[in-house]
Amino acid sequence: MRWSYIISRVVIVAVIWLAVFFGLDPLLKWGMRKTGESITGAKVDIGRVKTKFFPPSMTIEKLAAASKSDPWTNMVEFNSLSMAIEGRPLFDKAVIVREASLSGLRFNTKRSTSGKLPFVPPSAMGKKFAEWTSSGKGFAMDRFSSIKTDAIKDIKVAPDSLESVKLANELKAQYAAEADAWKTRLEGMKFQERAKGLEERFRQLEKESDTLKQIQMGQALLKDADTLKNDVAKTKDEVTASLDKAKGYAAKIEEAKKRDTAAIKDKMHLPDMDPKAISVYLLGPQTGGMLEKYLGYYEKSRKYIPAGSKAGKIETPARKGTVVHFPKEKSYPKFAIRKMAVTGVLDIGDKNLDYSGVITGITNQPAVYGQPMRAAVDAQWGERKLNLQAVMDHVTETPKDSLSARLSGWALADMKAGDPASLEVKSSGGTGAVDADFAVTGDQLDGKIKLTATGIGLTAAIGGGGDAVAFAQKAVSQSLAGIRTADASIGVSGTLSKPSLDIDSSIGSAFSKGIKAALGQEIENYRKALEAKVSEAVAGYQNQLNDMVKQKQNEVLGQLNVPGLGNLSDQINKKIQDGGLKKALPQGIKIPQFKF
Amino acid sequence: MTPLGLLRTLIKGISENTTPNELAAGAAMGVLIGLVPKANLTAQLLLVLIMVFRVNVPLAAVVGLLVSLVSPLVDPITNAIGYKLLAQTPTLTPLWTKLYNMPVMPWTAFNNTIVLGGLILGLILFAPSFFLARKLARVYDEKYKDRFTGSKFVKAVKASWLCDWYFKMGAN
Repeated sequence: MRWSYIISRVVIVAVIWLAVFFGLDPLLKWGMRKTGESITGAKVDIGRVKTKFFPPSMTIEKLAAASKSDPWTNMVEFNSLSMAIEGRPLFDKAVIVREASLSGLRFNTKRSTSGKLPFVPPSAMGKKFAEWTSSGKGFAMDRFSSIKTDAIKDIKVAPDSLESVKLANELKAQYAAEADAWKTRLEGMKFQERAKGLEERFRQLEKESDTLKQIQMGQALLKDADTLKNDVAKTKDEVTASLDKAKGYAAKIEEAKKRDTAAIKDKMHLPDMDPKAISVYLLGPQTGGMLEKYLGYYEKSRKYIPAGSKAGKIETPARKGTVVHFPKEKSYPKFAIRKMAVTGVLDIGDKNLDYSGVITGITNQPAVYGQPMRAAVDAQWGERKLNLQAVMDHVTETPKDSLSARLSGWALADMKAGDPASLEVKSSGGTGAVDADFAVTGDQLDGKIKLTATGIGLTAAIGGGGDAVAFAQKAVSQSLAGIRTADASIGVSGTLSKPSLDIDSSIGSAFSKGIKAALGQEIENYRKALEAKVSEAVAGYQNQLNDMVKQKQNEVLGQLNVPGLGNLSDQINKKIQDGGLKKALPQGIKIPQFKF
Repeated sequence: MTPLGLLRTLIKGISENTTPNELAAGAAMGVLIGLVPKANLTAQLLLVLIMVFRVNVPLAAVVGLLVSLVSPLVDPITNAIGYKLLAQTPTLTPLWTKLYNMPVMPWTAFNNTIVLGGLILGLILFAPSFFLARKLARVYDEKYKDRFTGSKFVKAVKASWLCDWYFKMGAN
């Protein structure tokens, strides 16, 4: 027996087996970690991955996924995920989990190490939210102190920096160029010369003694005169239509002036009295950040759950070559969890609420699986209630996802919103409720979140100093003092890459009311004074534009003024009747008017 | 047997098949496995075949590695062969459909154009590779073996501490 031959092969098989036995779990753990990090954009830690072949099963322990926006917080973590895997689909290269159990699921827990990854580029959605939340930064209270003074007199408005001045100059240049182009074109049309030619021919007609010839000349002359009249009229219509656009210039400049005033107002941090603007200032950063985070996760997760059927495709590109598919008697998705029980803890302020739920139909190929993913989570402890229903339907080509969440009776911790240097609102005590409904069809977002707080106490602090600030502080405090119930509604629309938010809140309205009561007239006067300054700066340029428009219109339309052309046809007809035909024909016969 | 003895047995076991036929079979298997992408069950089964049959494993490994390096250049040909057989030969469709519905077969990636094309091209080239390699082995045996084993380089290697250690280890 050749022992060297047998031993060498046994050793190689043993090495492969050992590599699978000891290497599979670390390899899976590494793969899961990398996949998780690509989804969350932050670190994902996994304690242990344990696989068993007989019967097939897998357990993932101590998974913690850090939050991208707050690396010292875990966005989600769980104690254990156990999965009982069906054996038969493994031979078809599919992992189907018959039943899974996820325990100890918690959100927003503290981390001992930072979960930040070296570099994660911002998404298009993130940029859009950043733009949106920064729109509230223009709101500030630091000009309160100057509102009651004559500081407006010191404001200098440089005409060159104004959009309305630039627009007036642009319109002037455009209009002049267009009018000059018309002038050149009209010169080429030679209307005056053609009219003079007709007059000359009319004089010859008058001199003509042969009646028949006179009639023939008259007919030809009438035809040419009408042609010229039509040409002039048609051209006049075109010129008028073209030059009449100047009528819209005033409105355009007015709009630009409004934008100029708003820009100066923003630059000067003039306080805004619009309730929505105040709501955006107070709630925008948190809401925008929260939605950016969760919609970002949702958007990334959609990449792993593609919509539509791939079963109908005969060929799919592979890393190398092409994979050709054939009809399947029984198709399995590459991965699916038929049913997963979820238990966990939700931190809702004063109490950690134990919850439980069931998720069905988790798969990366919904079209093959044929069922949408559904999640239902419930919890109740005394007055505190949570109900969450979600459907992720990617079975057809157009994804239809929805989320409905109701949370009520949660004790509110003391909260702050805004910036103490400008405006800060503090809330204490009370209970909160959240009522959220989201739907995503294709890429279109449609969501409404209603936040209600009852039994709260509100205080506000306005930054800066002086009498005006003290006055406003007092008025706003009075407005907020009686408020025990506050609500906010957040509307989400647009698309996943270009989401749009609409925030309104009763606090914004109350605050606006307070400012208006205290300093509404002063702010309005200030705004009007600013508008007057802008108008004053633009007036000269606007007058120049108006004068130029009038001048150019006169010049161009003057070229279309052909004297005597209107009467020429009548004169020709009269001449033919009186001088020619009338004499040649017997009395009593009516001669028709020539018209061409 | 000491661990070092076991190691020597292992090395000897996978390198002892040095007759012209065993060398040629190793080279031909190397060509076959080199043309097939490795991340599938087909490639693993070919590796098992190399271990099971009396072929020169080191030569199969070296040839397999070299062919793998140049296989991207051959991919257009293997892709065309695979595509023709899988997608453009209706008479074979029932066979592929049956295989596609059999358990374990999806792991072989037979429905990938380059895997199937590489396997077919490798099988076509198997006999020519085998005969060419056997001829080269015989020519080497007859004309160059003595010259090579008597060369300064081989003598220097044989005189080295590594070779010395290897043979001493074998004596244990």
